[in-house]
Amino acid sequence: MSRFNPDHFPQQHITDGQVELPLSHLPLLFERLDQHFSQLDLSPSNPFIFECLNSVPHAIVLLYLFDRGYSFLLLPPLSPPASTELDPATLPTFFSALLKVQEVPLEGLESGIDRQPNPAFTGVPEVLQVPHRLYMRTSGSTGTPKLVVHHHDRFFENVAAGQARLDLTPSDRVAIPVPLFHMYGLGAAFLPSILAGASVDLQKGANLLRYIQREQKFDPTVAFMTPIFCEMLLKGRKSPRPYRMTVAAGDRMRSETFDRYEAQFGCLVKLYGSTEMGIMAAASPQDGVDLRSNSVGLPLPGIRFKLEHPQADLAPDWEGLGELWCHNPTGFEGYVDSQGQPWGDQAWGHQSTDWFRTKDFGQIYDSGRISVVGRCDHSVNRDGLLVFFSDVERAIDTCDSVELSVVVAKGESSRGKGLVAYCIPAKGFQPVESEIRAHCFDRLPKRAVPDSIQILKSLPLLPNGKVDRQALVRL
Amino acid sequence: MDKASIIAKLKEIIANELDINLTVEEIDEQTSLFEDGLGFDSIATVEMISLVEKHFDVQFEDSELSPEYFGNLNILSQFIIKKLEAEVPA
Repeated sequence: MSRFNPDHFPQQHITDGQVELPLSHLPLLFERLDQHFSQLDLSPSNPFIFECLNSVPHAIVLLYLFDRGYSFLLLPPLSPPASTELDPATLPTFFSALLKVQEVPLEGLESGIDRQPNPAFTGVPEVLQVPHRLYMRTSGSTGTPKLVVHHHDRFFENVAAGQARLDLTPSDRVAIPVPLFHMYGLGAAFLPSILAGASVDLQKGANLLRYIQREQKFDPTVAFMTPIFCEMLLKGRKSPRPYRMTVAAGDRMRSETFDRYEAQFGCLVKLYGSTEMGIMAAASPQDGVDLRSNSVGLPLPGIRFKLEHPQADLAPDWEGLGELWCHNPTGFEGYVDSQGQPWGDQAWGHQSTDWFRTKDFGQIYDSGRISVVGRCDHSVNRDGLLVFFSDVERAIDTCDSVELSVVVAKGESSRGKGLVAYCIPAKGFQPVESEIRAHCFDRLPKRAVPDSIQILKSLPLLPNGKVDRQALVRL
Repeated sequence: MDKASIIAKLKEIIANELDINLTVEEIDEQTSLFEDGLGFDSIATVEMISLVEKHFDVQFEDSELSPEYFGNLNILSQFIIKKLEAEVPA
């Protein structure tokens, strides 16, 4: 047992509502898995894809892979029950196999673990035939699928620093309704909790009713949430229910939401991270409410921030706003593309700049605390996921009655930032809002459907002929 | 209020007041409200709860906010009947 020491925590367990696993059973299970994995012909230096869900069997395999130093890519399951937009034919080509885990009783755990060939496999570059690597996908804005490469050792340094900052202990019971195949669920919620020896409740999908039902059974002291889910709880539940701490990550949270959440459910801590960097900054539950409300806390030890391209002409409360860059010795090693080739200017295996461009706007206070305002490019975070204006515009423009549309972020909605689409009618058409919205519902995920659709005769233009988006925001 | 009219009212609420792009005809009372059926997400669920409270003048407790009572419109209508009966002063 190199990474996890469950013997110290005889009382703690991992549950998913169906199966309950005492942490102290892990060493024995790992030994059983050693045998099974040698039969599956998987080796630590032969990278494969692990389809991971929030369940106890998946969590056991995940911890096993880290403990034994396997190199693997984390993905959501490619086939039902979890819905996924991934086409198996477009999988990265340098992973030889797909590791699939069924939710079976733990006595027969091995029988539910199987490998299948990756239909897209073409071969592994020799330099990537190495153990101790964690691969994750990023939701890149360019459309080019790229993979982030982490070294287990550095990643676990980040996890340990996160555990210390959040002050997770063996007496905590941690609710995790965020997915393990994302960095937030894995590197901020699950692994720090396990390192702390806390008990963990893994939930699939943040459904409010299911969450409340599970909360009554598991009685958590800590929950990891998205700002959207915090709002859901605020709206949906009837009575206060104090937690020792709720951690919220993702887009910035409205201060009004923060205050109301804090009054109902207790200490709320904001955390800032990314797929590439893991946890970059987080407030501490020991911080006073003001410090927790207006920042994502201090950078973790050893991590530094700087601002580039300070924005001059902004409102006074955005003074000192600029693009946040992060220097993180526990961050990723670099990018590879779907063939395993070094990708971009922070490519894997290349000496690259030490500073990582987060593409977020933010501020650095004199105290060193970080405040994050939002994404730099034309996108907003809704339901915890990025929505790109261009995707929405493209969908609306396929509507016969619309000549051209421009989407901007404006105000707030229950899904996050408000999304408003301005449309120019096609010649001879008089489109109405409901018709365009119905069109959007057919083509876009719910989070990407604009909150409001405005019909304009013409769009305001900048001198260079481009649409003046700022003028639309001011309309 | 009988069960059929409660179900009809619920369909109307979903079609007209929820931001979910469904018509009354598309809603079946035996279909699950969630991912495996009508596709309510958390936001729609929360709105649905408060709309039901408003239209039927009932109040749910936290302990009643359970997937068992909100499985489909058939189940939900039975639950509303129970709530309405409980709220009538003896």
